[in-house]
Amino acid sequence: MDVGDESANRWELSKENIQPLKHGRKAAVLSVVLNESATQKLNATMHVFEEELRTYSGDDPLDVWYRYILWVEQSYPKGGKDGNIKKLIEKCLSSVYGNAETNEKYKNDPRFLDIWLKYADLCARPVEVYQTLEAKGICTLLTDFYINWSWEMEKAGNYKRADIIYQNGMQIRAEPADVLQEAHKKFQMRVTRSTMEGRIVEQESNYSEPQRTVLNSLKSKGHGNRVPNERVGSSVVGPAGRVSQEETKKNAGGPSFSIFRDTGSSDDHSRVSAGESRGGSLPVGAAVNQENVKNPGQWTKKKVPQKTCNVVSVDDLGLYQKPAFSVHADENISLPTATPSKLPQTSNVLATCKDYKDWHVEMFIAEPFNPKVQPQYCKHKVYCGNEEFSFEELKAAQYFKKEKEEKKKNEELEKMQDMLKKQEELIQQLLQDRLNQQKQEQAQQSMSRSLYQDSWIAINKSVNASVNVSNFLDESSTSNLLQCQPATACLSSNEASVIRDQTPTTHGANPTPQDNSQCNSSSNSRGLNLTDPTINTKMAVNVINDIWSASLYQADSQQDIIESDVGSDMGTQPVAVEAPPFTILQDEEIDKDKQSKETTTAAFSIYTDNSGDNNGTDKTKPSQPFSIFQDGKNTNQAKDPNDMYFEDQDENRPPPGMVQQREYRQVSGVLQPAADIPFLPLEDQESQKESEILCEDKGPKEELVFDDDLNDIVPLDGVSFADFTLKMPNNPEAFAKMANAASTPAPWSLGHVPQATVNGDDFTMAVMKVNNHFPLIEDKQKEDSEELMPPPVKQLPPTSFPAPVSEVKLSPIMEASREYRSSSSSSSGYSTTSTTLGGHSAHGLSQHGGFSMSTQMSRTRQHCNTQQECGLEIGVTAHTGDFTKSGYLADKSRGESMADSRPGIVASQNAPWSEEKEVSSFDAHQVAAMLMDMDDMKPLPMANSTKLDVREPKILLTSKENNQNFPEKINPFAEEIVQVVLSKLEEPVEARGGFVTSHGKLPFIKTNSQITLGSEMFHVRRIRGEGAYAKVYQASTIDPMNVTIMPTEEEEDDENEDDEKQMILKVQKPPCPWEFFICHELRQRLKSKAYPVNMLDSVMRINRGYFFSNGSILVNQYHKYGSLLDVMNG
Amino acid sequence: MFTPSTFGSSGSGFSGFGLSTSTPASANPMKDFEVVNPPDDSVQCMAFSPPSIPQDFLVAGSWDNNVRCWEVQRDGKTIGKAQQTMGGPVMDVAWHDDGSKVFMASADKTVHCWDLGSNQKMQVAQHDAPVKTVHWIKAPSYSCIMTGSWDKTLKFWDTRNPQPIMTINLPERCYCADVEYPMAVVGTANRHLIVYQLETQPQEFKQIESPLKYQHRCVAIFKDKKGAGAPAGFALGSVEGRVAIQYIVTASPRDNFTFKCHRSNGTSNGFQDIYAVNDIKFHPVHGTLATVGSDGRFSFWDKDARTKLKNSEAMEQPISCCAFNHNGQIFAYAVSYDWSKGHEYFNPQKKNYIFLRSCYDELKPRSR
Repeated sequence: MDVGDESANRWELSKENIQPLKHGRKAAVLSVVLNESATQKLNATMHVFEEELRTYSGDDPLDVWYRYILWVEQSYPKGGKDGNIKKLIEKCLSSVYGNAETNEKYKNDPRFLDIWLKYADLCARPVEVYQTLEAKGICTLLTDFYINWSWEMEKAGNYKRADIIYQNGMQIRAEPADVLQEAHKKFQMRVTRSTMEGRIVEQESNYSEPQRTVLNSLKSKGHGNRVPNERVGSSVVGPAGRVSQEETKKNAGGPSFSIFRDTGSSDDHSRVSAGESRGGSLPVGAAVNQENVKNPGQWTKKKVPQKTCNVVSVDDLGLYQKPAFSVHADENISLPTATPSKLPQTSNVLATCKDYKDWHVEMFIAEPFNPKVQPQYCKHKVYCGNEEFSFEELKAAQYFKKEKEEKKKNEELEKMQDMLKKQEELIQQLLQDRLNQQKQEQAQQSMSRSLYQDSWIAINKSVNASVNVSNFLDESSTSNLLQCQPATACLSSNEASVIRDQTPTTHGANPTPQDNSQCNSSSNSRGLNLTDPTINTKMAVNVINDIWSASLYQADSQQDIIESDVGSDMGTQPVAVEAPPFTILQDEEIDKDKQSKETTTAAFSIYTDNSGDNNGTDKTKPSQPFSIFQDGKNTNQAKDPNDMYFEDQDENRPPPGMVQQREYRQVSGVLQPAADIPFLPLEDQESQKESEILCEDKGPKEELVFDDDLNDIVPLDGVSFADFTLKMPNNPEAFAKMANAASTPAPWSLGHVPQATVNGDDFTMAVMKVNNHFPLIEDKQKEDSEELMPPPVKQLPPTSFPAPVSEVKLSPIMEASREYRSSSSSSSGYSTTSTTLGGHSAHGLSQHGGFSMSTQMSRTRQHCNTQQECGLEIGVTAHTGDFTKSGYLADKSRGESMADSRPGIVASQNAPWSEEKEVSSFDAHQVAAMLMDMDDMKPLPMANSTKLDVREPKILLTSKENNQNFPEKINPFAEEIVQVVLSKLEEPVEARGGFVTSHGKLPFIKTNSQITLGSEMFHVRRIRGEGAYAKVYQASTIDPMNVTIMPTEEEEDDENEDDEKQMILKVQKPPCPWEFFICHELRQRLKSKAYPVNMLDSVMRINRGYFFSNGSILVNQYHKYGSLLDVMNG
Repeated sequence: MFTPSTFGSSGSGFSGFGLSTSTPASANPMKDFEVVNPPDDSVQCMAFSPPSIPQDFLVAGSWDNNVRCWEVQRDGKTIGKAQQTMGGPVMDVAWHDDGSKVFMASADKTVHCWDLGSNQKMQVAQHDAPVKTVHWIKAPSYSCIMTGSWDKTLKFWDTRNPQPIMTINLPERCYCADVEYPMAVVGTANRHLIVYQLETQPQEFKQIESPLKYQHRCVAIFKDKKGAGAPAGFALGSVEGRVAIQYIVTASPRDNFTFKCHRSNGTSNGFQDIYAVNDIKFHPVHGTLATVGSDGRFSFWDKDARTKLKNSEAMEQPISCCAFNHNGQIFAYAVSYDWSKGHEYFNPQKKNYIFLRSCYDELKPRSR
């Protein structure tokens, strides 16, 4: 940190010394370069470049120059003498241009042009440079040339000329043509806009009435050297110290003859350039403007000679015809300042000063060019860049280069030999390891078996003993693993994390540490007895770890305290007791897996499985041993959601490394069918119990935390609903309208439980407040697994009986409510733009608006529903109340929601099942959706109008609940949230169509090169955009055989693929699976919601995402009109 | 000891002497004595043994990483005596004042001391870049070697100590240096010139604005004729055919001057070719100087009379370096490629020569 601070400081301190660059500076380079001690390093690097310049023997000499120039540009931010970039560029240009061969070769090389452009930027009069370039035909086939030239003219306000330049470029067919056209269009746009805004004023206004200016010296008249009354015009001598342009112009009045101007000027130019292109000298060097340079002098005594000639301003130069001849300018004309005639008299006092910073000597003093003299040495090499080299140095450089190459060759040879040797050894080692592993595993199994059988009684008695055993086993197993595969080297740590992971689980089940030993040991012993025949050592270790960690666990957070209360209230002891059977069964399954695979990775996944299952099993009720066969997560949900919440939260405390494991677990969850149906009987049983628990718990619990809030808790009556209904009616018409606009199916709009969702919102808000929104999301994700496909089938009439209503799976509405929440949260950052829409086609504009409207529609729907169906809420609210009660007691605002939900709780005691469903519908999808929506909606100011209507009630609502400030808390860009959400997905990102995980590092992407990603080959054409975290390239797929862009589950709406296979590669560093996920998810949902088909078009589609260890590449279609944002901004 | 006559006579009657018959006349247009077994690659530096030993030994360092030592006999015959190999091309050689050791500066960034008696070499200096110059400094109070390197430092070494006595930073890479106690002059890249005084301890004396317009290539100190032979100034050779005579303390600025040299006089195609001045040496007795250039000629000059004493015929190759023996009887010059046109123009087919010339009379200054 210190280093970082220091560098930041340095940067702060020397900000004003840094010359800005068009394309910016690299912060990393800056921080290094600004360090004063870096000078030596810089010099060394520069010397290396200089050496390379002279020793380069390849066929691309410009490459060295280019790299050198770029380096100097970045490394000498102060400009000036240190880097001497201007001189360097001049040298480069003249050396390249001077050589006929290289000149021909690089005539239209973009790098060459880039150097020219840099030079133009450095010049006082860039227009001259461009004109010369055109005249000499250098780089005239490159688009950038015209763009920059035109920009220069545009800056000067010469729009006509700028336009002509563009047209010239297009006429000459500069490459790439589309870029030029685009730029031209943008230019036109700018012009029209500024015309409309009145920024372009007729240029004549510049030369209006002569005005008095300050500090003008005036001509004196008459006797007393009086100054005339009229102090403008001819009486003005000129401004002090400089030439008055206006003045001269006015006096001049034009020459008495007319200059002949050829109208076909461009033809003329080309003719000139043809004649001149060879042998003509370039206008580099200060020699160009020599006669125009004013030497510094005493300004008071300076007399400005008044010449009456037509002064042409620099900007108008382009309007004038260049003469068909070139004025010869000597390259070697010495600079006037070159030889200071006097030396600072050096004395012995100065001699002690060993600092030569102020001793500036010209590298050489150019003699006037003498065509009859030829230096007979390699002058071009001696005086190549910014340094001079002696013959010996040149030779030495070459000598060392050769030496290096030889060394390299030798090293490579040796390396190859070493590699071969190592490979052989490795193979042998692997073989041996295999053998060892098998042996050890067998030994371990037998050992563990005996251990368990023998020592379980002892373990029951003392946890310590079990700890020892587990330790022992742990070590042995890990060491074994370590031997097996290098990839699992980190396994021990993983194991540790797993253990940590499990601690909360067990803890949740066993609230008091004192109880733990008893509970766990007893339960485990049972389980072990059952599984004895098939038990796997590792699973056993795991179980022991459970015990161990649980017993050692210390309740650390307030939440845990609450949780433990809940747990104890609910009588978790029996739960824990019952847990083992499941674990055992799981073990068996995994055992099979493991035995079949016998790889450490398998073991690894087993761990995670185990932890997940443990969660479930630990919590399942004692009376349902058969629930084994159900999804562990279902059982989870069957239990108290509060519990779940805490466990999940605890689980997510471990470091990010855990995420990986999550994913594994998710996979396993996916593999197991989401079993909604088998639950029914179980639920019934459970529900009764739970309701009992709930009833019992709720009262005291709330009292515990909400002593003051209790007054708010009102029995179910009209008042509580009034809260909801009150919020809604503000804008019923708007809602209705929107419903129509979105053309949502009627049944959908009649979704019945939106009230619940409202509560849900409340809940999330509360969570956010209390827990910094991570746990919330996890929570939802956990539950989402159950919600795999919310069947929007059961649409009940509005007046239906409460219980069945609650039974209906209304997840879409829940989502909507999420979105609603998200929108409210996003309202703060509404105007910011998001990049997710980068590739959208232009016609998506309207569609997109429609889309965002739809999300709002769902909102309105909810509100409508709240209005109408008060009765419906009962079950739902009950659930949510339950939910909130359990987790977020600390929250103040929740008191109100509690009040709302209170009646529901009472009512819903007979419908706990529905409750559970509701819980489950808070899922990662929703969270994701809400985050995504935030992203998506921002760039759509269009939606504002419609939104405004909606927002009103929303705001009302939030204010009612005192939750206004919560929405800001979710930051969709927070890495942690993203991580958590991604890791909790029920359909992991990795499993989604188009996701390609690639090991290794991001390949280096260069324009005009080919890269292979997976099975696809791309020809990267050019860079289209660049941001802080990503670069966007335009590319085309090369092999038509490989262009199976989208996997089989291609949507029915045929997005017409561009015929040219134009693709956009978004290269992100670090990898951003989030974007991929969001786009994918959004599309999926849009698809499943039967929206008008074309809506999909407005959403970015990522054909493929390649994910590397240090970056990711998203491939999607190229839309030539750019993004919506472009359209909006344009 | 040589007597002028001995060496001179042997020079004139060279046909009978140890000149290998294989050497074509074109390679030796001046008909001088040829040193046997010349280096295989370009000769970078040469030095004659100091007056402290009776015989004349010549050492030459070359780009083939070797330093060779010959004994030069009175009759002009040379006998190869010994050879040492360095880790890189040899950039400079210098004799210890007692004539027992030779210091060799190499591009391998080290300086080694070669004890001729035992034929052992040991490292005595280390730089961060190739070492371009090495000189032995014999002061009443101390003795050391001075090394100048492309790492932009000038270092002073007691040969028994791995650490330098003193390090002086240079404004640029050291290109050339000369030492004549109590004065040292160093020419660097980017045309810097610094004069040091060596009394009591090395100290910068003066920074001098270069009198030349182009790169410094070689420098040599000359002594005051009237005084007690104290160093009075130096001659500086440029990469572009010019030599400057510069006094440290001048009565009038007109004492300093530059003169053109090593240029062809518009011979064939009407162009005047300008060549680099590769080396300058002052005659130890007469105070006149010899320059050698890329054009393959050597020239003798009288700086006080501002006249050219002699101009040689052109050799097949450039003359890369030259040396006078301690009494000024012998002028040695090495004909080998000086890399002036880049390594691409190096012709390995061409043989390298070192020639010895009896020069005492030719370098006598004009009597005024």
